[in-house]
Amino acid sequence: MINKIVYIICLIGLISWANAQTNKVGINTETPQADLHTNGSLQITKELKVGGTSSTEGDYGQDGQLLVSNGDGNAPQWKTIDEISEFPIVSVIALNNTSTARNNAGVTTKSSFSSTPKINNDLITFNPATNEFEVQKSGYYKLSAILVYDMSENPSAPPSTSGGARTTILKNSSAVITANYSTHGERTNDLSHNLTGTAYFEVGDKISLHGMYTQRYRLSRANMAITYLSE
Amino acid sequence: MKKIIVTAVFLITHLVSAQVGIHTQTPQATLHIQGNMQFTKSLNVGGTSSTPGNSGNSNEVLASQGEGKPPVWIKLEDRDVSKVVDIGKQPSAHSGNGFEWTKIGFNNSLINNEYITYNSATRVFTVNKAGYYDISAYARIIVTGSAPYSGTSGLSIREYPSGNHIFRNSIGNSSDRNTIYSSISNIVFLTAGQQFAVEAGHTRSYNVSLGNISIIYIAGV
Repeated sequence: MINKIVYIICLIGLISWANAQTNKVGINTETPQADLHTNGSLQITKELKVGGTSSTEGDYGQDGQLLVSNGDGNAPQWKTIDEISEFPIVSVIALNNTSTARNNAGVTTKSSFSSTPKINNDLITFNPATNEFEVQKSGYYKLSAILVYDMSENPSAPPSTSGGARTTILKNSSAVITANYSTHGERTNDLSHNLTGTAYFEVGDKISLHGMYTQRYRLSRANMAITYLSE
Repeated sequence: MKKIIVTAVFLITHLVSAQVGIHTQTPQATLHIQGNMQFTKSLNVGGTSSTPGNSGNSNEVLASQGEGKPPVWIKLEDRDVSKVVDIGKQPSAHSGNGFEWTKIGFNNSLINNEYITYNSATRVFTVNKAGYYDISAYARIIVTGSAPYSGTSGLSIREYPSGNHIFRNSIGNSSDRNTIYSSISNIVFLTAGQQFAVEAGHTRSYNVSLGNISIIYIAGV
């Protein structure tokens, strides 16, 4: 009975003490600076819910979201990195180390890719059957590619390898996003093109890398990096 | 009665000075919530027993400082996280004379003036925040007039007004070919106040069109 009275008095004491501090509760502090002021460490074993009201649930975020401040007096928010600011996101890194079959002079070939060590399928997917990348989230993307040509199988006598190489990154097989065209004399056994460009893509747009040489050639190596820039 | 009050005060003091557990009798932190937690206003970190912590500014994220220290609100850009500061597209073609450079004009769908500003009248970018920038640009150059078209084209990130090439690409074209596709990409250090333009040129009269640019802030000083 005495214990119960002590407990009740304790409780009343705690509440009135908290009231005296304008409803603020302090742990390890008698001068709390927030509604709950923990002067020390905090451990939570489940969700951290932010926002909501006295009778509605706050947001616990999604896997991979970060806690972002909304300034003084406002609840922070869980956001994905691209919602925070204009942070570029690696969408695709695609590689090809396999030489294509020999192509005839002047025939344009779509580059294949043997692996995609990085691919963010929320942004862009890759179809190995068509060697096309398909945009899943509209926005501005930066494209960078390398395409290496092998002309070593041409006859040794002139005009042999002399001619022009054209590399393009195309949207929907037609619109040129970026390109490289170079002309070469005989005894050019191989060459490499680097190219980069930035463009806006809609959901469903296809992106592909193409090469052409005006003499016999193989495409011996390629890479493509696609970076999401902004909405 | 006096004894009870003394005990009560003692208990309160004890309660507020020790570790507090919610749903646990073995708290592992000053406040250990064995379960979830909700708050509807700011999360203040740092401070002391009598001074308020920091609620952070808009778009700052919470970062750990390791054991024994409070987490802090940081701007990711200040931790060398890349940030897109410009995306531009050339809206219409420009023409240029042989051996002369032409500044490419851009419509910028994104430009972050904290880092870089663009003057569409002069077609000059001005850096506002020093750091390393990844600049990528593309343009198509077409030699005008009739064959032969042979010569050398350039696409350059060119300092203004000195005209120094920060970096550029030169492409030769043969007499039967009038179209040159040129793209450049590099990471360069730019100082605050430094100005530059994207410029195209050819040794013969030309048009430049279809230009595009993206600039990404990579890291600070």
